[in-house]
Amino acid sequence: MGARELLSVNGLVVNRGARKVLDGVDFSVREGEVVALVGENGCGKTTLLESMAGLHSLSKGVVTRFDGGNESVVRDFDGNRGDILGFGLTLQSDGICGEETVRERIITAIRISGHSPEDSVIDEMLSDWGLGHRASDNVSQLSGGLRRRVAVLSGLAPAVMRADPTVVLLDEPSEGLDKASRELLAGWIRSLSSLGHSIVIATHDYEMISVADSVVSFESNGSLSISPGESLGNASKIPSPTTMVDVSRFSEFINWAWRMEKRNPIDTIGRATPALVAMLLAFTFATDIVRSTENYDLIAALVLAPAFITAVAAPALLKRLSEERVGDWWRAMTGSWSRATFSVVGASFILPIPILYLSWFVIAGDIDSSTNDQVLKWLWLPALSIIDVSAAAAALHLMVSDLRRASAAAGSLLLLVLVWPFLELTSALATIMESGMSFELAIGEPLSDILISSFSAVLVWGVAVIIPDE
Amino acid sequence: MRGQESLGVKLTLFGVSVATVAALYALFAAPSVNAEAFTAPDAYRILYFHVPFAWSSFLSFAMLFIGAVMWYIKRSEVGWIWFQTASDLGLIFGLGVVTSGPIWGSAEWGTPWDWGDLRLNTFGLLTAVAMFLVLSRRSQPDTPATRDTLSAIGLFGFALVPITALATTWYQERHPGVLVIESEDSGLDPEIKTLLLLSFFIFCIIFAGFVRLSNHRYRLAAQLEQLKSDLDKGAIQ
Amino acid sequence: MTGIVEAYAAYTMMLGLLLYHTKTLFSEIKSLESSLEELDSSNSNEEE
Repeated sequence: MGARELLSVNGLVVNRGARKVLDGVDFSVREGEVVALVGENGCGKTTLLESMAGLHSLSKGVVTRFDGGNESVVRDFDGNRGDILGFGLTLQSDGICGEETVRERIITAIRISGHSPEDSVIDEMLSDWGLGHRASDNVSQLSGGLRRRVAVLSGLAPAVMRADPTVVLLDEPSEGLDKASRELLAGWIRSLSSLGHSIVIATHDYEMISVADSVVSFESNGSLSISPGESLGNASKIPSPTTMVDVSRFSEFINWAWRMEKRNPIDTIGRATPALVAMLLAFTFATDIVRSTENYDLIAALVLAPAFITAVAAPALLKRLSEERVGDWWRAMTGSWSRATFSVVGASFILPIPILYLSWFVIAGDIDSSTNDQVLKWLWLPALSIIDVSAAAAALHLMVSDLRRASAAAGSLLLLVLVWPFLELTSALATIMESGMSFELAIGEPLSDILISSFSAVLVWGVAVIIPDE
Repeated sequence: MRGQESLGVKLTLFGVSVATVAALYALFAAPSVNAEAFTAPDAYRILYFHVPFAWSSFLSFAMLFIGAVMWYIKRSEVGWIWFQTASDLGLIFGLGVVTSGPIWGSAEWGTPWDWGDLRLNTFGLLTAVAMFLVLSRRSQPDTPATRDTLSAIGLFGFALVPITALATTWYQERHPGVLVIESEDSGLDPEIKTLLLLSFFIFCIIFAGFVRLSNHRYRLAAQLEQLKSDLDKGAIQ
Repeated sequence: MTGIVEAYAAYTMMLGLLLYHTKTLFSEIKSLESSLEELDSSNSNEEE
């Protein structure tokens, strides 16, 4: 009983919709302790587990983590979120994007916890869990049972690699696992516990409950009762810990997003296709427009429209994050800056410049050569502003995705606010066409218009990122 | 199977090597056309690949249709292999058509696209469908339900052909077609015609080679998946 | 404007597609064959 506390929950009140799911919960986990959270469906065991990962906003109370003598807030009712490293998490719905390979998933889970695993260690873990022959397969290709093994292993692996005690949160880990896998899970849990790690398991599986050292039961009146567990199960052999390395969670997220897009470029195609169609449609009708100064606004708008469409399209990243609650896993791992990170990574960085230049060539490339030269020299400036618009659009889409039935929401209505940056850029391009680029910072000058466009986009981004609760 | 694969290898390597030589010949040694009759007389050289690419993509889409029907109606594994091969080839050859065509169109007729041209729009749509099928096969789990959906989408692609015919005809009532790609039928120089036929023949060889290799590839993938599924059942010791 | 630049661009694209697909086919077949061999041999080792 002299074991240190690793995580504590004090006075937790969590509302989900109109319902108070947790009402003044006090709970703590000590080093080496295996705790089972049990109760009927809907009693709040998943909510409690996920609150310990910082995933839910709190009406009252605080979740605190004690890590090597340091105390840090995981989440409090003011909305403050800490940046917690090195814990393991397995959500009830896997939290894995189908495009990830099995090996990649385990490596990502370990790296984001601050370790850089050797290939041989990964091979050993995969082999122990019967996943060696599937190491390079996409998770989407696996059966449900194998996918669940990957999800469970990615929750356990960070603790396996870590020498100092940490917390592992597992939500219904045995669901979908066969008998051999459940026995292996019990063995790994006991091994991790013997090394000082705490494991919290939300479960209704009796076999998992029997592994626990203490059982926290959710009573029908909302209170918790704690009773001693049976602590059954024999420890399995697990890989040895490694030293921690300096790993940026944000670069890990960016690398992950980039790999997923390379493997299945739905973001690029989803943005480029409507842009190209718009470009060709604009071309069809722009040939009839006389190339004179009174029509430059119209020509500028037609040229900018395809790149603008590219910018405001919903990022494929959001679809990936909503698959099997992948976004929640990454939110737990990236902490307080997750919304800002997701919206910036979800923006279109590569497409606006080439699309805008192609747009110019196709729609207005036949204009007189001096105008053409000026525009070609400076068109990249409005394109950079379009990237800012894209980040703002991504933040708006992300805000809408917080809705429970986000697919039923008319999120595009919120994008109308981005019409003003578009109008500023149209004005800027028309001025560049008429009288060349100018670096004066007066209203009506192209540089001012471009800066106002970017500033408006950044304002929208900032508001969309700061206001919502993480 | 080994015999089939080595034939596919030979056909592909031979065809692609000869095509590379043919490309260089087309660019630097093929006969010139009357500079006064064309806006961009050298751009005509695109013809020697563009037309065989169009023919190969037509063959691919036909194979896609047959494979889709074979899977959808008979749940034939051979049909699914054909479907996979044909969607890959439809994408490759289709992309070649819808990029070289607009490049040529821009140079010669000043327009990269004509919404009133049936062939251009049909190839564009079918290439988009092929791209969808290729990407979806990689991102979705391989189950009978997925195969059914993708086959249905492949068949949908063919319904687009008459729909596009109607749509482009109606559009042309108001906006007469700008682009008429009839150059292969309008009294070509005999030497150009001969070179075009040779190129066409080379692409038939390439197509046959690609089909054999690709079918082999998908058969191997099916074998591997079967082995892995067997291992899944007895995986943890 | 003779259009020769456009011709180069078009041929680069089309030839590039042919070569890319050839390379992809060969490398995927090689990778599948070696995965099959590996699994086959680890299977027969277990049987022994």
